[in-house]
Formats: sequence, structure tokens, C-alpha cells
Amino acid sequence: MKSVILKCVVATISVAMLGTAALSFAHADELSDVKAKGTLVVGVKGDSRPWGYLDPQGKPIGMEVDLAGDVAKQLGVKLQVVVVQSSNRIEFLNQGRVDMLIATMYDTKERRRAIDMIQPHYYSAATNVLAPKSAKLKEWKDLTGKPVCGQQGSVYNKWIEKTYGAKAMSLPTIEEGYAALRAGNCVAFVYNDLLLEMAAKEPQWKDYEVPLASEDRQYHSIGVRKGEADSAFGKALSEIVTNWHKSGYLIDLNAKWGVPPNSYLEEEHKKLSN
Amino acid sequence: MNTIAKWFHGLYDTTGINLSFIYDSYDRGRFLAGIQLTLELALICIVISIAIGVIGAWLQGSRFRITNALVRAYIALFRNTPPIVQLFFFFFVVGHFFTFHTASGVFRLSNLSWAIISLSFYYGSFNIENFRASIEAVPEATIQAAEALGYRKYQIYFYIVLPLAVRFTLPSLANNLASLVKSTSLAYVIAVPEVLYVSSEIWSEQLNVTEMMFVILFFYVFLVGLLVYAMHRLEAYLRIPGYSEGA
Repeated sequence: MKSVILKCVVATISVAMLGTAALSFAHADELSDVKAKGTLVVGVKGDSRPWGYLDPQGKPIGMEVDLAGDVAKQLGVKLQVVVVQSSNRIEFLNQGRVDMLIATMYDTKERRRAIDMIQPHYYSAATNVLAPKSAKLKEWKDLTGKPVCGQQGSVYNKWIEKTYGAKAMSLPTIEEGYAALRAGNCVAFVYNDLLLEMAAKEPQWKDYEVPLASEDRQYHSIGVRKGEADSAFGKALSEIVTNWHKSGYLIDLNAKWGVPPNSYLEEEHKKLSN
Repeated sequence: MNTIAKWFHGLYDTTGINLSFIYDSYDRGRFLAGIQLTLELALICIVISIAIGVIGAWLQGSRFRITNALVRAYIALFRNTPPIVQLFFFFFVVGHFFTFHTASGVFRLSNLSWAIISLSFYYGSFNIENFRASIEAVPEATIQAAEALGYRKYQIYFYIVLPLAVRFTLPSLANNLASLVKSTSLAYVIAVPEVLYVSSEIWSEQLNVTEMMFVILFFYVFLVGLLVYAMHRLEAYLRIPGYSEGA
């Protein structure tokens, strides 16, 4: 009996491994796959205004959706966007539900073990907090030991815990994180500085501010499955991103979506256009 | 510990199976803290929900109309709303108004307190109905027999009704408590760092979703299995030889 079970387990594992091998073989040339099916499926965010969010009809729009559209246009295929979350986007990519990610994703060491990051980076942001003016935060150390809200699956939470000893409290989405901040369940909401600076300008946040100097600068990459950065698909994407920097397309798009000027984009543009 | 940690790190490097909560001290610390919090949350909620059940069933059986109506209203409110909606409601709405500015600072309940309140009240409402049904299931003939033997009212309640009702209620109570233990994972949505929450923190950094899903699944199978086993042992211990329940 035991050996039968063992045989079954071994057989199942072998089949699964063969399946994976076949799958990765079939995906060896993603570029021709995408061109053959005529559609590029891109994972974008649905809760990160203005990079990727939903319009009142529930359709994803934003800077990164525009970028995804430009990639599809340059590859000569139709665009299909799929809304992903910070906590599940890598799974969406690795399970083959999307061909690539443009989903406010930082290029980190841990993520590079699971997927490939297209170089160069297309965007950059740093960490800051949104806090009530009454909290009178002066420096990052003021947050030590205090509850700080965040969004599940984003990198800011661990950073603020490890660097400044704050108690990170991560809620499922940004909206719920904001709600917890408003309800007074935490002293601040930690996220990327650009988003928070834009939020602070809106009337509903008039009693709130972005009080600290941004830290921990990180860079965004287009994510593709492991091994695809060096394929024809990855090379095509890399060239597209380089041209975005060169032509100033990213700077224009940044302004179009009302984001404060991003020094990283200016620097890259200057570097590449010379 | 070091050799174990090394072995699991090697497992990750060679097979890609990433059990970071074993080899990484930071992940291990928070994973254990998550397990501890899940156990605490479950235990506290079990105690409070049973207390609510006993008191509620007692109030419901009393002669006063007003307490009767209050208990019924409580059951209607808590049994008829999903626990996840209650958690959000307590945390975001009630929590907002339940903030007091005192001389020594601001007083407010933590997200853990709201999770305890919400889950205890929710499962307490089920317990009330369970206990009431069990008390009513004590056969009329048994009570009449006690009356014939000259027992007083309170004696009948404490020596005849309650001991039988407790036995009748155990199977449905076990179900209810198993459901409660599993529902502690809902506290995840209001950022209570129980085992599901810490696992999600770990998998969003380590990207080991598959591994962590297995770990959480087995953790709950084990935990609820333990509870169900304990309840069965209790049932067996309290069994009255020759008395078939509810007959």
C-alpha cells in the first residue's frame, strides 16, 4: 500500500515537473506568442491613482495604463489590461494570467528571485508619510513605537518597521489605510512620496500634511517572467523604455496626470538625450 | 537551530522551496508572534462568547419582557450580519466615535480589541440560541419527576436542567467554536497581526505564496483538529451511561 502511494506521489510530481518544463518551453519566445495572439495582457494597479486606478465606469486608467497602451502600440498588438494588487501581482505574472506587469512595482532583490525586471527603470519614488498636522511630526524618529498604517504587500511597511521601529499596520487597500488614518487608528499612513504629496493637496486632506524628508529611494521596473528579460520580448521592452526616457514621453505623461515633477525622470532624460 | 536554519536555506537555494519563517530570524519571530496572537484571540473569544451565551440564554428564559426583547434584538443584529462587515463597522465607524481625549492622552481601543469584541459578539449570539435550545430540550417528564420528588425550582434548574443541557449543547457548541477559531483569520482585514496577516506580510516580501498557503492550511487543520478532539474528550467524559441524548 505504502509503495503504491509513494509511486503515485512520484508520478504526480514528475508529471507536474514535465508540465512546468513544457510550459516554460512553450514560453521561450514570448514576443512571437504575443504577436501571434494579437493581444498584450498587462497587469496594472486599480488602487494607485494616478498610476493605475479605476474610472467611474470601472475601467482601469492612469499613467501606467497609458504606458501599457504605448507598449502594445509599438508591438503592433491590441492591449488588454488586468487589475492586479500589490500582494498578488507576481502570482498573476507567474501563472501566465498576464504577459507583463506595469504595476508601480519596485525593483527589489527578493522579487528578482521570482521574476525578471526590465532595465532601465521607467520611474522612481521614495517613502514618506501622510499625517495629521496636529501630530506635529518633525523627523522619522518621531514614529518610533507608534502605529503607522500602510497597504498590504507594499515594501514601505517593513522598511519603516525595520528602520524606525514603527508598528506597521497594513490594511488590504490604500482606501482602507486612509480610512484607518482618518479614524485615528494610526498616527500616519506610509506610502510613496509622490502619491501622498498629491493627496495632501486635495480638500479632504486639508488637515493633513507630508511632513518628513523622503527617504529610501526605489526604482520601478516592468516585470516579466523569469528568463524573459534576455529574450526578444525583454529586449523589445528595454528599448521601448529607453526611448520613453530619451523622447521625454515619461516627463510629459507625468505632467499629464498631474504628478509633481520627478527629478529622476529629468536626470534620465538629460543623460540619454545627450 | 543553526543547522536546521542552514538546511532550510539550502532547500531554498536548491529547490526553490522557500520556508523563510524557519531559516530567517526576522520572519520566524513574526510568524511565531502571529501564531501566538491567533491562539490568544481564539481563546479570549471562546471564553467571552460562551459567557455571552450563558448570560443571554438565562436572560431570554427570564420572565421580564424587556430583557427578552433586548436579547432577541442583539441576536438579530449580530447573527444576521457577516462578521467581516462587523469588523469593518467596529473598526472604522464605532472606533472613530469611541475615541476619548483625556488629560493623560488619547484613549482608543486597538484593532485587536475590536476584533475580540466583534468575533465574541458574533459567536455569542449563536451560543445563546444553542444554549436556549439545549435547555428547552430537557424533557418535560424529567422535570415533572423532579417536582414529584420534592425538588425546589432552583434545585431543578441546577441539579436537573443544567447538567443535562450542558451535555445536549456540546456537539453544536463544538461546531460553533470550530467556526470561531477559523474566523479569527478575518481579523486580517483590520490589520491584526494574527497568523494569516503575518503570512501575507511574509509572502509579499519573500514571494513564497504557495509555501505559505500550505503552512497556513496545515496550521488551521491542526488547531481546529485539536479543539474538536478536546470537545470530543469532554463529551465522552460527561457521557451518562445508559442515557441516550435528547431521547
